Amino acid sequence: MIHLKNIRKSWGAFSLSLDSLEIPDGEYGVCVGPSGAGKSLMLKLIAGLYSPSRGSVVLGEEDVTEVAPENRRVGLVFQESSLFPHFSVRGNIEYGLRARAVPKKEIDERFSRVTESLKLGGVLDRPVRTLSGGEAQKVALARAIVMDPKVLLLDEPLSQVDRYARGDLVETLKDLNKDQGLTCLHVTHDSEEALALGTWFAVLMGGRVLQAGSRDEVLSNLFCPFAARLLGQGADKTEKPEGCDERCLLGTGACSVLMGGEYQHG
Amino acid sequence: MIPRWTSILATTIGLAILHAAVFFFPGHLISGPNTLVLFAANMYVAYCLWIIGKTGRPADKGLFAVGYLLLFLLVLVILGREALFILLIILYSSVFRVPLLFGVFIAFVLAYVLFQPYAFETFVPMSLGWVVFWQVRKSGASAFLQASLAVGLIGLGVLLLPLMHLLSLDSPKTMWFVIGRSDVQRAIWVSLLSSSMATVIVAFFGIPLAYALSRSQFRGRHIVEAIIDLPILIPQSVVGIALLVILGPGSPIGKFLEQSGLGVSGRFAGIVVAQVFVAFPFLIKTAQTAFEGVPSHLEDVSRTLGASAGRTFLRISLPLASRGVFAGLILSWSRAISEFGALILFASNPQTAPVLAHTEFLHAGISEARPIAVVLLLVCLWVFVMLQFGRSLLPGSWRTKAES
Repeated sequence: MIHLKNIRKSWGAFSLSLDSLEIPDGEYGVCVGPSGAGKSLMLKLIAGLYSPSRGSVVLGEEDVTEVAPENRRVGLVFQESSLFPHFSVRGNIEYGLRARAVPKKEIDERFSRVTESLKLGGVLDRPVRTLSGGEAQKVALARAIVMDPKVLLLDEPLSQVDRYARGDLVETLKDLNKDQGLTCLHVTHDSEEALALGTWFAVLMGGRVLQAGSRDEVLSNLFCPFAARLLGQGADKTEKPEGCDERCLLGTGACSVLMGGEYQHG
Repeated sequence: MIPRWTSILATTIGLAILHAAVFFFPGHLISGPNTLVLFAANMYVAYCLWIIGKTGRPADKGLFAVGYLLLFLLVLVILGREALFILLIILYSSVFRVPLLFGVFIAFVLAYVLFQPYAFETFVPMSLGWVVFWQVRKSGASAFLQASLAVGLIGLGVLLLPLMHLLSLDSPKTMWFVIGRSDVQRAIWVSLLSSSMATVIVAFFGIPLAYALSRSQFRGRHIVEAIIDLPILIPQSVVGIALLVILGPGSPIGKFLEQSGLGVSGRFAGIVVAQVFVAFPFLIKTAQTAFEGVPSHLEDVSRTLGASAGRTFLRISLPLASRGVFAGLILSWSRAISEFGALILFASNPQTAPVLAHTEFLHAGISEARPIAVVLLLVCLWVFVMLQFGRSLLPGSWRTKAES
């Protein structure tokens, strides 16, 4: 379970404000929203790379707000290749285990288990720089899950991967979630990707939650046409809510319904 | 390729008549043996001309002839150096079709014929510059880029000239004698040791500062950066006076240090203090840029994988920035060993090599100071080259193929 309670975080003119966001165990959470909605910042708060000005982050049963990122047991995969270029593929995957001073025998064991389950046999001996986008992301994924994380955070992990390799990665992610029961939170602005993977959705806008809930809940009760569009649904599935002036369509990242007169930048 | 025998015969007879005419011309322009050698050389030139006509563009033949004529006028008619002319035309015909060598040949002619007293020191920069320029030209750079490079190389060549000239003046024997002098040896050791210690101190404070600056935003950042640059701006003598005022024997701190046996002014420690002061900015600038080049998301990933901030710095940030950081250390070291002004005022004893060269100049004159200067130059160059080589062994930049 990932639970964000009363989170407040300001970042220059931008402010993130999440009153209560809860992703139940075993769900594949997908968070959609326009650029600048605060999706990546939210992931970094969960990972502990930033601390919130107020509020708390709960992972499982534990309040981890004050816990350093290295002790949170959170897996993180970024958009662009975030492999360490000065290590081999093996060195990348073993990096976390070595940092935790895991015994050599156990490192080998966990390494071969992960590389087998992700079918990474072919790339283990290649220099990191020669990997394709899809291969690199798979190695990054292996590097994260070899640590046996409580939750897996994915920041637009497929956006730099070509279309052909994407399907393979989508299947891999699905398997991880279903077979191993790993709770995931995946941030994207690709609706196709969101629909292929998500069992739980959240729509973020201007640092606030437009709506969140299980897949059926959200898709059968879309908040507004823009939310429908973000999730790849026809605009006819819903109506404009009261007070909506469609300023979101201008790309300001703001929503008049959600923020009222509070948002003054437009 | 061999020409038809009729044309060989015709050329031989033609050239023979020409050279006979020159030889028997009243006043004996060229001596007998030289005429014979010149005849042979010109046979070779004629053969090269024939090959150029066969394989090159039509204009090449004309260019070749113009070049030959220029050499003839310059070397034989104006300077009257027969043997040199024969040597040059053989070289000329041989390298005419190889642009790289031809450029070096032109540099050679310019240096050894026109800039005669400064032949060595003009030839080296010119030919090096040409080799660089030729590579860029061959890689298909735009005309503007070529022109920019040419302008820059001329400037660099002018910078190199006095140093090359200095190097060419003293014989290896004089230098060997100077290296053997105990005071010179001591001064060089003092220089090497103090600047290395200064670099270690600069690294200890500078690398953390550079990293912090590359990863944080705060108000007043520009002021901090301006303060870092300050030692570059301040004249060396002012640095010396400032240090003397605060740490010198007349100051309260200086007195206290002297009493506790830690005095710096006029001691080895003083040299290191002055060198740290002037060398500090050079590391920060370079190292900060290097750290900025390491994407912060690599550090983020490392943290989530269970590495502490310190471990992340040592295993990820520092190795990936190491080339830049090392470049900064080399710059700092170079700046430290080249310091003179602050030392002569603040810590002139024990003498570093630059201070020794200066005192030698004051007491014995330029011809005594010169070999010391040359030895110092060579030592610095050697260490510099070694350090640069070491730097090339460090892990490369972080860029993946997508960005490069």
